[in-house]
Amino acid sequence: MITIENVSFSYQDAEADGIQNVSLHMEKGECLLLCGRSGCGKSTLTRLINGLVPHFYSGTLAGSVRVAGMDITQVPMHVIGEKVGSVFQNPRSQFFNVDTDSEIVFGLENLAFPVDEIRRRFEQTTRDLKLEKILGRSIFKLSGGEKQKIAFASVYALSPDVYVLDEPSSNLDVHAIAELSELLKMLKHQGKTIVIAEHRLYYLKDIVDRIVYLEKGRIAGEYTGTDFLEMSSSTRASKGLRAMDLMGIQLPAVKAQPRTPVLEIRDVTLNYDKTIIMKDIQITASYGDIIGVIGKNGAGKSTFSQTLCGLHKEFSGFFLWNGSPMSPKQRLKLSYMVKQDVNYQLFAASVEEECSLGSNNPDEGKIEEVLKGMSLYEYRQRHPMSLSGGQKQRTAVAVSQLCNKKIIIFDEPTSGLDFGSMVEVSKLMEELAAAGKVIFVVTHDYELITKVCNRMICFADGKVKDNLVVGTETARRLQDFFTLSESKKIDE
Amino acid sequence: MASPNHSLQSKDLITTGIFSTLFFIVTMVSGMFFAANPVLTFLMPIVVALFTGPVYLLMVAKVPKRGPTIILGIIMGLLMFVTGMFWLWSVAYVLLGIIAGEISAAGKFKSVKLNTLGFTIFSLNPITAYMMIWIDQQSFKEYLMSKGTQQAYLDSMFQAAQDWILPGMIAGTIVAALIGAFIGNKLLKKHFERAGVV
Amino acid sequence: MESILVARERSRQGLLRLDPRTKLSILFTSNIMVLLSPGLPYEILMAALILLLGLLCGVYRYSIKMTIVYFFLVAGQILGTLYFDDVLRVFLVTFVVFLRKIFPCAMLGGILIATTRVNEFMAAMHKLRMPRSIVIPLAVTLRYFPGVIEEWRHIRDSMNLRGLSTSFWGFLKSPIKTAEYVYVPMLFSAAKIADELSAAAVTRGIDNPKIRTCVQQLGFTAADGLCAGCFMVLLMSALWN
Repeated sequence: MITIENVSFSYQDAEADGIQNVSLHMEKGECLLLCGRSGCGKSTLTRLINGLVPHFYSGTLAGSVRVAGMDITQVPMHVIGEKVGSVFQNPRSQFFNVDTDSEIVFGLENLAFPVDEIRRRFEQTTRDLKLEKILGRSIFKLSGGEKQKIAFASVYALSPDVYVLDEPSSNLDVHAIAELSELLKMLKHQGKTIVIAEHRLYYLKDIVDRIVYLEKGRIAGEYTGTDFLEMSSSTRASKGLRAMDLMGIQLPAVKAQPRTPVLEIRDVTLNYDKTIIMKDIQITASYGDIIGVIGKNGAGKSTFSQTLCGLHKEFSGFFLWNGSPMSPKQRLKLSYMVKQDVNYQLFAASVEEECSLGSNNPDEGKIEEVLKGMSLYEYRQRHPMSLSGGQKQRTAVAVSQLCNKKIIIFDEPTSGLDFGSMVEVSKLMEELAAAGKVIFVVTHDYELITKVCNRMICFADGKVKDNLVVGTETARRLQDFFTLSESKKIDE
Repeated sequence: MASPNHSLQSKDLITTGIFSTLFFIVTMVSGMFFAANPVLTFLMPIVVALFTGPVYLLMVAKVPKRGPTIILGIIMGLLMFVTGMFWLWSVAYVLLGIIAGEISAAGKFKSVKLNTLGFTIFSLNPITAYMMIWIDQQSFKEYLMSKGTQQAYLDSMFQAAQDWILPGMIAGTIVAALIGAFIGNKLLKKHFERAGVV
Repeated sequence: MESILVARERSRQGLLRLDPRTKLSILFTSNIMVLLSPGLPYEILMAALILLLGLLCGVYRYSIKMTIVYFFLVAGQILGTLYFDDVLRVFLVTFVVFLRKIFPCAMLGGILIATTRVNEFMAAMHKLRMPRSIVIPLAVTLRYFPGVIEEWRHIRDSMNLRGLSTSFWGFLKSPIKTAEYVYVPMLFSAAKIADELSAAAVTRGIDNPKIRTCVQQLGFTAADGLCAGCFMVLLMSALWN
């Protein structure tokens, strides 16, 4: 189905790393996982298969790529599009339409299918993917998972032979990932050929036939699913890969809990547009706490973090700091949020300038110290937007340090990060905690929680459902949340 | 694209669409505050020229071809028409879009000076909207007079408007557009070129 | 904007479904009407007709909100003429008249955008023989418009977290700096979305030179004729005067 022979490609404007001398052969119905560190060339390889290289991203290409009987370099994109379907990382920017129905048929309309056929395929797609609930909606009212499902449906309606997915789970929650996994199983059952580039591996455990590991633009290893599962966690970590079997992760023993309560959230009710989102929130936190916040999309996690840092003002109840209540304005001064899309948080022309932004007399010495601590010092002259995702995140954290913030909220800090970067983020949080900050981490990342959090709060049904200490004793509760059985229970 | 191509690709069209949306929104947000104040309403073209510079220049830098400024003109013209503005304004948008494109093309879309000139000329478009006030002057005067405003007062009012508000607006817009373009070019250099976006 | 989005969702429940070309013709007719208008009562009649159209198309909240604003504008014009002295009258009333004149068309434009799907719009434009290079950017504009508001919220939050003022006074204090803080993330994000949206569209065949089909069948019905007719009659009555 797919034959790639001795292909090398380098981007014209060097926006990403190319690949060198890659050969790959895939049979019909096979499911292949491409993995490796950020920048290893796995995205480029997916682009070779769906034709974006060389038709969309220009550069120098050598070698031959044949997919479904087509010479990819010679065939125009709209012809490739009929045979090869692509789903991308960011569900927000894949939509051409504003309503879900039109988006599902977008590809069919472009390829000028007759209207009757479009109707038939639309109905089949909604049936197969169980989309009834999200038909006829504005895409701006959908959750990330729902958006990704529509993006998937739009490709599914074209019924391509080959599916190419580039980090499709990056912006999804646990439940949406479970659904994605089901969809992939269905495609496999239909005999489709699937290529997935991913960091998050666990949801693909029962699906992939073969795993290709890339390193610096070259294929550095090929494994079968079982080989891969048997790989020791240290080998895996040295390759920069995430865990494939979540339940195999060892939880640490309960850590010593910090015992100087400083933040108290008392009787807080959160509202959004006059409807109650969450009720009766009671949480206390101490300096040095790293508290994982989990819950389904829409459970109120983002309203909670927005309210905690003073951005959202529709609430009742008290936020006490050292026993005295804080107004939203005071909380805004005291807290900082590192957003999932950190791109909105960087304003200056260099990392160094970013650090002194908004301050009248920046303390040069302290900036240097903080940047060194974040291993950003050598990048201080670079433009923040030219940095990698992890470096951008660290720049945002450096800023929070310099503003002397006490409460730091991380919103999905590890979405789309490889193992190495995840470890770096968790180290960073530990350092911040040791420096006496109160840290909240809103996340769907089980590996991250087990690695770094000492406590965990679970939001469900409009209230704080669990408030636990992370450790071997509470492993069950934590695992429950991240397994499919539990997600179905919550769904009901 | 694999080979340098001067015709507009889908990517160029989509990029142009995105930046045109931003251009429209910046025009509305910056212009509306001034338009919403009767004393300051004549400053509207000046403010718009000041703030749209970066959006315009980044668009030209991202799609260095002949089409984008014309498409921007057409989209702006259509949106202004849809929101009920004077039709001459829409025509001005399209015509000035074409002229601005030709000016930038003379410098192969890379010349800072020519792009600035193109933007300055493009920015003169709202002046035409105010022409309605001058064209429609007679009926408007009669209307105000029927409500008891003094004839002499009105005459001096409109005289003043005719004598220097119009030339003042044109001169002010040109200066503002030059400043807007200066800021835009600085932002391009300071941020977008350094980050490798253009 | 929120209200337009809500309207878009509800629009499918409206009694009336017009062909996008009919909507465009109504818009053109209205624009000419404003130009030829014989006076205030005529324009109020026109606004009432637009309100009716909005309600029939299922755009309830937006239409009613806009009508209330319109009412205040008319009231402002009448009261202003009665009670203000010369200077204020010239400035204020000129301005209110200006706003009020363009208001019905703006309202109509909002209703039409809220009830037209991107693909319907593209199909209609193709039928009107508009070239691809106009149709695609225009469709993107319709699509990206609500997204910008979402982006602005992100940027505003981030600025507030940094202690950078997003208030009007903050802007007046340092306009250039504030504008830069808004522009930099906004433009970077626009450039990124342009790339990603293009890639997603290209892999789904937007480059196909064949005319794309549209699942919503376009075609004129009696309702189209009736609506266009109503507006046409109103236009004619202006010419008669």
